Order: sequence, then C-alpha cells, then structure tokens
Amino acid sequence: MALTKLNLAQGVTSTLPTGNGGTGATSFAPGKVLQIQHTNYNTSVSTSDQGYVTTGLTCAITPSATNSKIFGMFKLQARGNGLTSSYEWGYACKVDRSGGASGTAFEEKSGTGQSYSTYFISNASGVTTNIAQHSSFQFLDTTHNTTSAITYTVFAKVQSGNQAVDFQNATFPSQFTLWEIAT
Amino acid sequence: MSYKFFKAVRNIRPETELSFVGEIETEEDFKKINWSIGVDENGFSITTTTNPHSELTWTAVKEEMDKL
Repeated sequence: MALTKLNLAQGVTSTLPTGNGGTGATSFAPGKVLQIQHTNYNTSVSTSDQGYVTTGLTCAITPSATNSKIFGMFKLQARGNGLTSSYEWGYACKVDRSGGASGTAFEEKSGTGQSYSTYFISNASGVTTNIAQHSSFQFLDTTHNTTSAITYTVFAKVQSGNQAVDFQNATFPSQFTLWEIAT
Repeated sequence: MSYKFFKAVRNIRPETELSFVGEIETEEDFKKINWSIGVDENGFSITTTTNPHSELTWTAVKEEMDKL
C-alpha cells in the first residue's frame, strides 16, 4: 500500500492533535490546571487574640470560569510562646474570600472548644514553652461562581489569652498556592 | 523579641488579647497594636488601636520588658 504523507502543519485548519505536534485542545478538559498563583510571605504577625485575626498571608486569583474549582494549599510558619508553664499552646485557622466572592472557604473546625489541630502541651512545671513549626492545610473552593478577582486571606486565633503566636517568625515565610482547575 | 513583649503584657494584665505586625520596640509601634474588645458572630476579633487598658501604658510595658 502506498503511504501518503500529509503536511498537518499546513493542511489542517482545525485543532491539531497532540500526536501531530499540536495542542489537542478544543476545550479545557475536566481536571486541567488552568492557572496557578503563589504567595511567599515573610512579614511577622503576632497575636494573643482568641478571635480570628489576619495572619497577613493572602493569595489572589482571577478565575477564568464561574464553575471552575479553586484548589488551595497553604503552609503557616509559626512560633508559639507559652506564657505560663505547663500550659497548652495552639492555634486554629480559617480562610475567607473577598473581592469577587465572599464567605469562608475553609475552617479547621467551626465553633468554640476543641477547634485546634495545631497544638503543643508542655507538662514540665516551671518551664516556659517555645516551639517553632510549620502546619499545612488544603481546601477546595467549588462555590466561588465568579470571574472577578478573589483574594483568599488566612486568619488565625490562639487557644487562650495566656499564649501567643508569631506567624512568619523571624521572617521565615509562610506560603499560599492556588490552582484553578477546569470542570 | 515579641515573646518578651507578650510576657510583659501578661505580667501586668493577664489574658490580654491583641495582635500586631512586626515588632513592638518603640512607643510608635505600641500605638499600632490592635487590641481585642470582643468577637463578632463569625468568630472574628473586634479590635481597636485605642488602648482600652489603662494599666498597659508603653512606659509600664517597657519597664516590665527590661526586667525580663
């Protein structure tokens, strides 16, 4: 059988398959990463507040579709100061949206009481506890419903007024990354 | 450094809730502190930069910090 070679670079006017050197894209397939935004933040923010205050860590994204998903990952660097001995130290965090969307995108555990997954307990009497650590969190925002810019801000609260947290302590950074995923 | 500040505040007035950006090293820094005066229905702190605690003056806090 005779083999006929086509010049696909010139002879095809529609989308060129990837096997022929094209992009293969006629639309964005579900699960395709549409864009990534990233923040590296190293300004120290300290709190002894039992209500949510900003950690200073934010990341902004402008969705290309109202029904896309926004997958977020953030890592908080924190130094904990137990201001009394033999005391539990911890913090809880949440992520709120502003701009094109509002409301909470993520919260470790709403309400009061045991809503802290990052904590440390010192049982050594007379010893002041200090601890530096990183904690990572993830969330999936499926309800933004906008193509306007959204800013995601990380808020945190401490477990009691007898302790304090320094986020981005000594300019060690926290990071926040957002992926827009096609649906 | 912030540990000393928080410790000094606690020694003068335990359970004081506040937050700030950067370090508290001068009276000007002290004036930028966000003092908690409550929590709203969404769990967010209600804050003010007007110091609501008369015993927590910069002079008193600095003196306490210098002892630590």
